[in-house]
Amino acid sequence: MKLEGTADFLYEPRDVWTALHDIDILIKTIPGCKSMVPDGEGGYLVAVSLGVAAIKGDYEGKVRVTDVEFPHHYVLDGEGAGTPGYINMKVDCYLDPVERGTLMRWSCDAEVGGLIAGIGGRVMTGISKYMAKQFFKALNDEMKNLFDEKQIESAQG
Amino acid sequence: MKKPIEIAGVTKHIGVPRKRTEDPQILMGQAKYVDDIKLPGTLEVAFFRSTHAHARIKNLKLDAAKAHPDCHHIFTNNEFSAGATTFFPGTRGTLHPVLMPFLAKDKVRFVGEIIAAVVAPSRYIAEDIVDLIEVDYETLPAYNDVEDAMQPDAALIHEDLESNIYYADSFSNGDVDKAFAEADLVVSEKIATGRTSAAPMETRGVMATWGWDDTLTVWSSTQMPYPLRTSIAVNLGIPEQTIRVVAPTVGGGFGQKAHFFPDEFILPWIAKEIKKPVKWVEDRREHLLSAAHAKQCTIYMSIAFNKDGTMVGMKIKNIGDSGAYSQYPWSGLIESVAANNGAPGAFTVPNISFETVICLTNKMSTGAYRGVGWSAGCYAREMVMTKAARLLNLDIVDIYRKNFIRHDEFPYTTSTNQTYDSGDYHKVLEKCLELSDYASTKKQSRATEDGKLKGVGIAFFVEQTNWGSRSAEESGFPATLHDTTTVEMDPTGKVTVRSGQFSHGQGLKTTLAQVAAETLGVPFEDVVVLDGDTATGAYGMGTFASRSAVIGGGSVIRAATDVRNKLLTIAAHVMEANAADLEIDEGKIYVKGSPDRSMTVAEIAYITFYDRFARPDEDEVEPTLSATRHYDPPAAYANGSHAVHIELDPLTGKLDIKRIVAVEDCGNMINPKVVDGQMRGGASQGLGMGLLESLEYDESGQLKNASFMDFLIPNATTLPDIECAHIVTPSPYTEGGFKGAGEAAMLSVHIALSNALADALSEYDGPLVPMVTPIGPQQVMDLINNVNQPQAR
Repeated sequence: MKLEGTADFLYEPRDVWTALHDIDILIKTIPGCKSMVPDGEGGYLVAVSLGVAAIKGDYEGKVRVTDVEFPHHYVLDGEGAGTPGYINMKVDCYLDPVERGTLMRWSCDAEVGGLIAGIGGRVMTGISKYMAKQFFKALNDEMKNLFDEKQIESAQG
Repeated sequence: MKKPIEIAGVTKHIGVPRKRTEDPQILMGQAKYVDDIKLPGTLEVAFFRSTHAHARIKNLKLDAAKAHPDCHHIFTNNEFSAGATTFFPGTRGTLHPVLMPFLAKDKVRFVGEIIAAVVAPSRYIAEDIVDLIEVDYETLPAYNDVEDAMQPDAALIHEDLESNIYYADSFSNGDVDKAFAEADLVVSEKIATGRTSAAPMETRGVMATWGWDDTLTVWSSTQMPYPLRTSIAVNLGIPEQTIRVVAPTVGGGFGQKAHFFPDEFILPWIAKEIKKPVKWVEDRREHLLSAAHAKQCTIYMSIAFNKDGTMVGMKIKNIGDSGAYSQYPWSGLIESVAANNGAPGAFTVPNISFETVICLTNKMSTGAYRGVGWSAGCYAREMVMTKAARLLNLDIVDIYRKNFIRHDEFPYTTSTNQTYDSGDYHKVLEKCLELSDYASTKKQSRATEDGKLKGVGIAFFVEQTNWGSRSAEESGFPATLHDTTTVEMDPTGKVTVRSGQFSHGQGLKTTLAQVAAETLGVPFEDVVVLDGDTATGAYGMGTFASRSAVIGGGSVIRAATDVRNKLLTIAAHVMEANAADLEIDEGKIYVKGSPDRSMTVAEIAYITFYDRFARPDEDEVEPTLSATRHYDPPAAYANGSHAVHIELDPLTGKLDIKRIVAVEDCGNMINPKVVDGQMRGGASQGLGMGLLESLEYDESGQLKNASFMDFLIPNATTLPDIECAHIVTPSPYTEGGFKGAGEAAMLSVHIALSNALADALSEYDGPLVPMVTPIGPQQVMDLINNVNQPQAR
């Protein structure tokens, strides 16, 4: 399965990068994320619980960030498995500065197997896009909290 | 060859459109399917199946599952490695067996392959336990296209083979190169037929119980109870006479249930191990993932023509997509080998050469499904013929007429060494043309007022029926297949037919009773047919391959004739008449010409069993009224024609099916209503293959449409009423002059449909002729759009 999309952020690439690599923010923003723990090898062990149609279930997996060109590009390598099946994916992310902040361009190449492939295939693209939208919206909200608080703090300081 | 018994086309019982005796219980919900069999203390089984298409099993973690409080047992290949299903075939080339293990050992080769069997109090709990099993896989490259899997550097799906090709042969007759060199036109195409599933209404299912007396009873939704019994005995090392296999009511098989599947061995083995009844009923997803697939071939077809449409030569390369294993008992050759051996169809093809290649892919294996071999093979030939007709400014009908084997040429041996017994192809074609208003429709404008395009298509087929040893051999499988029937009359004159065949929708309980009633001269109501149970039948191969009316019917005729002769001998003694002067009619035995000198069949039967003073001396005539006879007839070749009217929306590619006309010649019909039912059912499935059905795998070998939400089959809104008609040319080779009728209807509806599409698009630049099944909206739009692209011209 191949997916791609863009997301707009009101902050500059450096800040977006920071948010995208902040475990606490990610736990809050990744739909269904239960936990995210460093695996000691530069990656993270992730537990996700999803409640949507044919992909409903608990998944555990690993993510790792590679090909890092701070703050413009990185690749998110992920693999996860749960009772409904498994997902292996590679997400290629570019952060470009634009007038309003940052434009993120991402493209995802995912291999999906098991029940979710056979039964959920038809709705998979829709669900994935919906979840991506949820994620980026939540991320923007979190960044607002984070950076606006900082600005307030620095103004007060 | 022994001269067969002739039966006139329509008699008191033969050729009579009787209602099927099996229907009331099915329609009223009283019939018992495997899932309706209830035994106290039954445990249920759920399977842990592979989610990867091609991977090594590195670590199978069962601890969490075993710790579940309701987990009775978990079985893996470590506990049960009893072997794999096999049976016959030997063929011209070298066939590597490529067996499917009952439970995967070190490696999985398709999504859905069974790795472990969980036994629990209910299916729900068993599935919960299955969810607790984990496995570490090392994934390997997966192939879903034969032409990728065939590459020399492709990863081996079976590492004991040198490549993913496990069978190849070739054949040639005549001077093909010369014919092609001298021909006016050669049309060469690549044709791809989609992967289908028979998708019977009742999925598969198995139940097994080990008795206190060390006997095994197995209920399976199978088409072939006796071969399954033998295969269980051989694979599990259980004495065959202690095994009883019951096929209760089975809700459709269509050839798919005429295979052996791992669960048919796993369940009996578990029952034997744990001494408790166990049951597993396949859900639809499991069915689409792991019940035999069918019909997917990649065919390179070249046909050489003269200007007048005469076919002078044919060259074929048929690459069969076997899936991950060879599906037994028929093997993965069944599709392509049968297709190539039947390649000439209804036509004189003097020069022919073909290649057959069977290749493994990481998908469920392919096997038999109604019209196996011919649905794909005929499609390739006919689509090339249609394109040639367009290039030669002819109608496909002209090419049919030009190349048909004429009715005075029978018996006719084709260039692939099949001997056709009889037929009148011109007559059948003309009947179909007339009923479908073919010629007048062709003269009308294609465009309708609301922007649609009308089209009409025709197709013609010959089908080899009645798979006995000789039919099988003529299709390239030197297998031994035959059937036995026991006909018994009891002391009250009632008749029991013990059959090795099995009625699972074909109406055999009705038609075999009609044949017995006719042969014996007793009322239809006095005959009962027992089938589907090895405890009550006679050893037979089962019901598949359009064989049961011919082989089953023939063996009933033979056994019933023996009983009738015995009855007449005893009656002659009792009535002090000459046996040759006696007649039997509707249960009454009388002296020819003196109907008042009569006794009933029941009286003679009673005397036979219970009156030693009246019956002949038992040293001269044994006082039994039963006979067991075998039958293995030569092949009889049915034929027929289909016409389809469609309306195409050229903006969306959607096809509406307006009319389907079916004309068929299956020799003498035992029950025309049953034949019509077969024609309608087959036509519906043929339309499914042509219009809708394709099991789609992605590049990593995942089946993407493993539910009826996504895998489409025809339903009432897709199908128009199917108009049926018959031409009768009795087979001179078979008892009763019967030919098979079960599969025929699936041989050419998809061809007529594609021809109708080509006709609807006949005013576009082209010729636009589809070379693929199914022709869904996407394929139709591809066909339309290619012509508008400059490079396609």
